[in-house]
Amino acid sequence: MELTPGSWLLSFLPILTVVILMLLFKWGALRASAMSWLVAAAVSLIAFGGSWLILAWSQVKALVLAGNLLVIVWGALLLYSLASEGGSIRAIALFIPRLSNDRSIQLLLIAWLLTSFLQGQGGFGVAVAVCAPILVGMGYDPILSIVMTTIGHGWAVSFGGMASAFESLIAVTHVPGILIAPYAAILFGLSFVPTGVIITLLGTGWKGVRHAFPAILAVSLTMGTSLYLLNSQGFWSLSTIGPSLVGIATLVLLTRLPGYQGTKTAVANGDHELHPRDLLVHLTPYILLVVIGFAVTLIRPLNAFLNQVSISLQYPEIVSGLGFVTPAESSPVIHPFSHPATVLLVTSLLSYIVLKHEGMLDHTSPRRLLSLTSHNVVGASLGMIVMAGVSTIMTHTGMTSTLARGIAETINRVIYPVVVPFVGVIGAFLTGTNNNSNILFGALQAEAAGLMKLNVPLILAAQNAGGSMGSVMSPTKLIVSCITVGLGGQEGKVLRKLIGYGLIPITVIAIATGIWSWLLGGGA
Amino acid sequence: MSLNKETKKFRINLLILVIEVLLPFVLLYALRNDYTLLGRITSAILVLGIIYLVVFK
Repeated sequence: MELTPGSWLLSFLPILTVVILMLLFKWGALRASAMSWLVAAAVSLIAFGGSWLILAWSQVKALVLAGNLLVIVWGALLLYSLASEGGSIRAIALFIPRLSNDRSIQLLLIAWLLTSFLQGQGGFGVAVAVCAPILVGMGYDPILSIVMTTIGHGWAVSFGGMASAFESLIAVTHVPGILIAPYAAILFGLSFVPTGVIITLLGTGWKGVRHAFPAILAVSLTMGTSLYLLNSQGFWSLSTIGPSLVGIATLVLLTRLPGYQGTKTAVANGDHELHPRDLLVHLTPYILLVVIGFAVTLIRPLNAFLNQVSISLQYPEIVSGLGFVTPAESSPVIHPFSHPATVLLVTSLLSYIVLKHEGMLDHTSPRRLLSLTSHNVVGASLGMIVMAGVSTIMTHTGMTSTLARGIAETINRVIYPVVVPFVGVIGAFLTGTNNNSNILFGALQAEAAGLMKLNVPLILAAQNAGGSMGSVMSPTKLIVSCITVGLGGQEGKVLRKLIGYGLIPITVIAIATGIWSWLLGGGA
Repeated sequence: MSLNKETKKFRINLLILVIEVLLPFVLLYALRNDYTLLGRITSAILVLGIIYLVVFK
């Protein structure tokens, strides 16, 4: 379709619908996504040459797209229900103060570093599903708990799960990863300080920020350095787990300092005592998650063995009434035996056996667990399928392409690098994943940067960073997060609080990209 | 009373989930084989399911 202000605005309408309904009218994500689906379908049928055949294919592809993520969400919700029923979340809430009674340090550890570490192996929704309830258990407001944990792991998405999102970017742009990765490390590294400050500010106020700032700086420096070293040597598949562990180690070392030990009066639930053995049993689901996740991801022979079975579907070429062609393609390859959902399922089963054996679950627990999980799963699944449908309808009728071309062709080369991360955010917000944002916009960003004679690896690193940080704010992920803290259907309220703070690290990255590009000759 | 309402809501959501998962395949089958009536009915149910989510959520 010809690019005009009208066609661009129409392309933007489905996204605008979700944002306005959630932010201004406080609609839940499912309801807003459904409205957005109707708008996308209507715009595609009326103005973009859409047909019922295209809608049907879009919805089938959306099911496959969402299905790959849904199984992870189901696994995460099952593990969360098990941990909740077995008392693990409460036990962690009691354990953290033992490490340090300092509220700022506790917050940084859970909302920033633990979420990032879990994102490194658990993927979609697991980090917030595990950590937000822990913060609620420690006495934090549920909305703030989601906001802090969401912002905390925004940087970790791109290189989590064996860096699948980053690998997708390399695949669609054909730009070597080793050229993009160092830029990506520095851009993410620049977001660390603002991320730590926002979390501390939300949890403990400006006084807490002043108190924790040296710790935030130290953790940012060690994490940033390790991220850069890993990326510049080509080990980006470890670039979430590695820096997260370095950050946790740094913070634990800092708790040895008298200034970060805190005071006893600040301890939540301080009257309760747990024996080390009980604590270990309570922590079983998370210890197993880490051990099994690590084994499947990092033990190469095991990973290769499990990856022998793969599933991929073939789609035909789809042509819209206006001639927009979506070439014949394969769906992303799924390895069922090394899939994060399988890791979560095996973890849940083993944890159940251990917790049952230790008397922390009774014979009525399985029924309650399945009932709780299934009730949560249905709403989350609907929301994700509908939002994935919006994304695929827009992609197959050329609306996404129109949207991206409009940005690339109308913005000059000095401003363009600043806008790039926000394009990544739009892609991720719409599709729910950094991976799909990179697939949607990666090639276009590379082409536009080439035409404008900008530094292509830097631009791609900025797209990747925006996609990573935008994906955690997407309605599909918020649905899962909200369920775990009892805020199901109130995603609009959470997004309203989240978006202002969540955009700060992205804005820092955008400004840094603009300045860096200008220094590299992008303003000449 | 509250439990019944929750159960009812859950069952309706489950029904819509089943509709949204199965009907795109039926629609695809109908359109590719020129079963016009089946295509119309399927697409109508598909869209009505989405409209329900907007109106009654």
